[in-house]
Amino acid sequence: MKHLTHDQLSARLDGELHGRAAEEAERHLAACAECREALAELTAQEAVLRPALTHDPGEAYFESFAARVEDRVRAVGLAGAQRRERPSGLGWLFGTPRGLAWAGATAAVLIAGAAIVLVTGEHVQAPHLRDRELTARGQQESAPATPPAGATRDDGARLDAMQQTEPPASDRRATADPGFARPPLAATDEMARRKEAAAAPQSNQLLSGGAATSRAREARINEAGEEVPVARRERGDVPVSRSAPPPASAPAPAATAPAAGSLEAQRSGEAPKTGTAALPSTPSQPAREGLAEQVDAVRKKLFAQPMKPAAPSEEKSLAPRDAAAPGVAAPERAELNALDRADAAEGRLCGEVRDDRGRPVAGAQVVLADVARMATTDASGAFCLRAPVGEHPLAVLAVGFNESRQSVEIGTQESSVRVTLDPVPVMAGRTAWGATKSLYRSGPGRESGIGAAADPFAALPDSLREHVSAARRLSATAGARRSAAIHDAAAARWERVVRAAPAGPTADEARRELAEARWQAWSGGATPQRAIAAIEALTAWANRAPAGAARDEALRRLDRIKR
Amino acid sequence: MEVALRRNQMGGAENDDELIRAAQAGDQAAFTGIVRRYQRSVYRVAWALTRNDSDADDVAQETFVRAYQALGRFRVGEPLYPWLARIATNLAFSLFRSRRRRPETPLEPLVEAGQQWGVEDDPAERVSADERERHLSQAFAALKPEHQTILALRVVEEQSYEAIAGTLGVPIGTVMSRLSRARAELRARLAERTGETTT
Repeated sequence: MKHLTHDQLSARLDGELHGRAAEEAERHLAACAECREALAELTAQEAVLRPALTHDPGEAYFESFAARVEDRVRAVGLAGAQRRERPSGLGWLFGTPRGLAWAGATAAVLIAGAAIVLVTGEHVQAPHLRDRELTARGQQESAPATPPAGATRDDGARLDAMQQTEPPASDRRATADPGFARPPLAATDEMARRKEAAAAPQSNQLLSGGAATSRAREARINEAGEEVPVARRERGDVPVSRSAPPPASAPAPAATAPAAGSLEAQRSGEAPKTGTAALPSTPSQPAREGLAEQVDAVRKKLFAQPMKPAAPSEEKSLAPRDAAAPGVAAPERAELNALDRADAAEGRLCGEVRDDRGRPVAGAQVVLADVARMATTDASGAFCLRAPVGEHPLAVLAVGFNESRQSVEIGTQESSVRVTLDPVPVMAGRTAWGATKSLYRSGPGRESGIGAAADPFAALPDSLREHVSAARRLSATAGARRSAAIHDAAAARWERVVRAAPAGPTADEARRELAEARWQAWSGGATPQRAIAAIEALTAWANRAPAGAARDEALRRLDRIKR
Repeated sequence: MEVALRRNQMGGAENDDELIRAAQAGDQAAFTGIVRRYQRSVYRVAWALTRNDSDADDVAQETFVRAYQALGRFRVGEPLYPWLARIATNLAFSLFRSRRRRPETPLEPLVEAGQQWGVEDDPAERVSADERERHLSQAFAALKPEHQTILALRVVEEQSYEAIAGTLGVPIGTVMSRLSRARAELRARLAERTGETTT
């Protein structure tokens, strides 16, 4: 008997057999167990494939998506405009459509920059990607006229070619650097001053006008039937937050008040009018995904709510003991969720951390990342934490060991857990190159050490090098302004490099940079999230670093955070 | 409901035409309307082909930026979705090409990862499901780009053969055979990894 071909089975799976072919296939299947089994196998594979290829980033992601695309488009358009024509003076700024767009975009970028302070996660992405685009687009000519849109395959090929084109190095430096390759924040500083000096009201109108228009347009499209009806949020609510602002267990220490102050000053000094101009005029309007609105809405919530009492005494608190002003505690989602559940029952989780030989591991960090609770194991490897009842992801970090992750259930009775850590394989002979380069230097502009003078990132593909340069610039800016949030942004960039870089000295160097950025962020404004991220990054780097001054420094820093 | 909406979107050319014309004429809000209309589809395709958040975000945003730049040359009346899907898939594959061989994938950073864990899952279930997904993801990544693309369109977007044919610009017969080969290749790659079949 002739069995069904794989093509036929596949089409049958998709319900795309028709007419006679369909009838014949059904008849055959009814009679042939083998083919039924083959079809079942195909069906099963398909069933597991779908979830593996699907991911829901959450409503908040889509609500802000169009705005981020808009920012990106503007930035790209402006890069082109800047190269083509440079009339001088403010006449250009306010006299031409491009100039106005530039002024408006600057304001938008400022707000985006300020919003890095208060909005984390997906929103940090926007300025990064934009920045990458700024340098990448610096040398792309605007698209020449091509055959009509019917030839979309040409589009694909051309886009391909554009992506892969490597302009000569000199060209790149010349066009990329002066105009647009500077970090969004630094560039906009200058623009902001010029703008403010001139006619701030005009740009405010532009921004708020634009914002109002797109808000209105969103409303219309929603009613006209967007793909999925978007539930409008309650007033004052921000997509990122679920309820109240972070608990007082995460205030900035007194020592970081200057950093906090400068950040506040930066935000209020440089974007006062644009920030407020873009606000909804009445509090009853639903909050939109615009970063400006989010910034202000979150600020209001941050400073309107009373602070909760300090964290329980059992766990080693991450926040400094001297609870000072709220400062700029970033209302990251985990903290907000934590508050969400703070009213719910809490339970105790105690346990032991041992290595693969059963020996206790002291000084390991036990973390419940979703509620930002941490504890350090004592000399016998024991720890206890309190956390809301329910299931949580548990991670254990210790230098010399691979990070361990598992899920734990916390009930109202005390639960216990035993964690076994796998030691990190000894990185003997991690290249000599890595060893000479690992002197702990912060900031860019490193001189060459003995031997290899090359930039560790020189061999990376362009897209990654963009991230590296952007990260370096962000780090420099963050250092200059003592801004924890900008260090966060730099760290997010470094994270991408770590993930994409080939294993070896390049990834190690990126990890070092990441650890540095995370440390600086925590130093500039300690929050549980920053502490967790810093501990993770420092541990990951220390695990691969050769013994020496740099590694010792990393261990010292880890101690400080855990204290 | 969602599927119906998606299909509707493929054939909603009339609605799109107005928006496209307006956007071509410089109406920023109209372009934003196009973005909002297709953002989820584009994101779905981007994620299916990149399988991580930051790349998917990058590809999805970049798709619309490129679309914006090329919109002037788009012929009103043609369906928008295939065009956008093509841009997205090209971008995803350019991204791979410009990268070196990937190292051992580091764990997702803790603080981000904390957000995504569900509360209802049974822990044991979760671990084995993760394993399975990882194998699948790796096996999928090993497929030829054209197989990845066509599977993404069929599995994630649930496009009919006819719609896929339109998106890829190939005859329906090709869609059928290519899908079949894609699935066979996936099975082979999975078997390589796990030493067993999916059932």
